[in-house]
Amino acid sequence: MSTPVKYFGLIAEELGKTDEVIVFNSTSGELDLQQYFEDRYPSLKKLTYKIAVNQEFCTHLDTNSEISEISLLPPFAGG
Amino acid sequence: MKNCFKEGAITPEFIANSISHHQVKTNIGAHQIFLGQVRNDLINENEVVAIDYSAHEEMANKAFHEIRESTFDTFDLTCMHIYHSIGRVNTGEICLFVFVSSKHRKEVQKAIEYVVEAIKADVPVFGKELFADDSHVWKENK
Repeated sequence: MSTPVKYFGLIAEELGKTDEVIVFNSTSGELDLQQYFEDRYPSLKKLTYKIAVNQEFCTHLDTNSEISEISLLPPFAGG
Repeated sequence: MKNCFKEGAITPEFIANSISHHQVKTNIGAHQIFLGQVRNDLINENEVVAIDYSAHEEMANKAFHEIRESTFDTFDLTCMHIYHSIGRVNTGEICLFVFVSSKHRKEVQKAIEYVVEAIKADVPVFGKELFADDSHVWKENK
């Protein structure tokens, strides 16, 4: 399953990219997203962020479901 | 869905125009306005000269929409507008403009606080505080 992943603010700066496509193995069932991303990018461990799947906040990914987008969002600073 | 973002600072002229557009709505008896302005914070003796705002714009516009819906459900308002800057806003310039209107003052006074707090907590907007020497830090709402 090829999924577009978007990085914002401090997360994008830390990883040196704003987006990429990640292929998730659809047989792996439910995936702990924070664990997945911190294994992939250990420097995320020191940062605070929220994960959104299909623009809804989420901690786990069902790799069998239809996913159009995953986003990693650092602390908000609006206003 | 309505786009609440405006490129760069929100100008005093834009705010004045917005006020004048409400003069035809003669059932309104009270307006309340909140203006967020970029402050020259001192961070490790470095003075902030601007904030560069970015956002997950689609999620943010959805969040603005949900705040709008819940505000109308909670308070008796006639109308409401939210504008947030995207991109660079210098210190002293306006980055957030919230405008609520109602028949009576008490509704708008309560509504404005509710809206501003919800924006700070729930909308995925990110702020890079820029210093004169080109270094930066990332802002975080408390």
